[in-house]
Amino acid sequence: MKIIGIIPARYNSSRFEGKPLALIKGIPMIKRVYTQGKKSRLLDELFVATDNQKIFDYCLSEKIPVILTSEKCKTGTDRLAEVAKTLEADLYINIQGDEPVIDPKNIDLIVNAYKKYKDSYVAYNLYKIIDDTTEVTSNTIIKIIVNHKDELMYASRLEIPYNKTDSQITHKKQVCVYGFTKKSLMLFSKHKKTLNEYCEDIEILRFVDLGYKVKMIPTELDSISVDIPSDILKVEKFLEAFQI
Amino acid sequence: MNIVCVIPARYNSSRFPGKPLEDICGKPMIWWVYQEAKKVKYFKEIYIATESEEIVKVCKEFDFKVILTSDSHLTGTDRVSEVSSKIKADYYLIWMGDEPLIQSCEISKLINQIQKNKKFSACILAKPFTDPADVVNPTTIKLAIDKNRELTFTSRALISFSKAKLNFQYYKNIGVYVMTKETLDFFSKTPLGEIEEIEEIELLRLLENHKKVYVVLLKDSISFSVDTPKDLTKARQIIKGGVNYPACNFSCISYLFRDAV
Repeated sequence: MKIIGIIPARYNSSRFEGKPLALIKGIPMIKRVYTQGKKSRLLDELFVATDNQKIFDYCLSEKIPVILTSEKCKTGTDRLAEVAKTLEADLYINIQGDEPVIDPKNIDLIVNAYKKYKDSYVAYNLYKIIDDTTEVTSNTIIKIIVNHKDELMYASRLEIPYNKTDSQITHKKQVCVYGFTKKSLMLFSKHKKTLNEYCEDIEILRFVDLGYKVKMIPTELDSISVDIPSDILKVEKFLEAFQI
Repeated sequence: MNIVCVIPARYNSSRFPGKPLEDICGKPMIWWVYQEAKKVKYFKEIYIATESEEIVKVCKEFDFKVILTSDSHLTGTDRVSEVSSKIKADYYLIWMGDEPLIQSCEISKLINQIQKNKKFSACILAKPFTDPADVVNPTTIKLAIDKNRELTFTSRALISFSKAKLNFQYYKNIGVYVMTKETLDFFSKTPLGEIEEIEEIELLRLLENHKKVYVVLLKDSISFSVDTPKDLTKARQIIKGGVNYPACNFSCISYLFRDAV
């Protein structure tokens, strides 16, 4: 069984230009993601996939395996699909280029779930119980709803489920490591954005909207997504706290 | 195919006691529902299901079939499930007693769907919200529907959150469901779902147990459930004016399901 990790990296994020090369304690974010990803023993190979020459050149200079993809890819998943056309594997893991402290154990959770359920699911993704209650109301944090088999029913930037009871409830958030088969990547990229996916701006909803099952795997391990420049500080604080 | 219509009518509604017997143009609300139900050619029988002796008495005066059910049911679906143990049928059409403005042709559409799609545990009726105040109100239930018109989630929250799209449409369910006997049995023997309990939405029990629910979307249904005295006034006005029903329009809102981009 061949398992490939891919780190999609766009140079121009709408809210943070040049994000993948932003320095975090002196090291560009993309290198940090790569270094973390390499710690997973279950990945056979790990690549950066980018449409940007600066990122491409940087990766070459650091001996990070890198693939140049077209500028047409609308989402990170589309970028994976493009890579999958030329690179054969059983499972492709999408490791977010803007999560510099991703825990390699989260990658392993996806791989192990795939080994167990194989092609019963089109995609694999993670969730975590929310501890920090400010995340519940934040619309950058994606809340998820699963059925009794931990299959994704819905994902939203809203506070879901809506609590009609008087008691304290827990919310689940999406943790962004994904596993796809080649078939599911082709399925994803051949469809346009679906209604709920487009409204919520949540890629994984495309599968739900098309009627396919996504397996959600619980994790205890959090990650930090860098969306805006000030998030860099959050990451640096995290690194200090854990002395990494 | 054997289809029975069940009209749950609870006297002790917490927000509006005695609601099913409220007068609309000289007849109790459930009379209007029963009359409309009689126009549906698919029904073998029509029953009103109630916990109230008072309602039983009124039904008998009108010669309506009525079943006295237990008062201890947690949900309306449990009440129908009790009915299904006494009255045998393949399908049960559940028509809420506080929905006097649903049209028989809308019900027929729903029945056609569940007969066509055997893999579905339930079929529900839905329509777009037209009143913004109604959408943001947590008493109304919003639906997330996939490309195949299957229900994926339902919430009191304002789903789908519109981060990227302007003029997004929200969908509400109408108080009519059709369920198979198996679905009712399953529902009554399955414990409350985790999310069902938080949201207080019965349908979530089916979804949380990965049952398939199909949504029939109506374009211009005038129906609404009578939940408050104000709703009652509105229903009276519509019925008094001679109900000016729009032509039955089932061209389900296909443009909403085109690819979004």
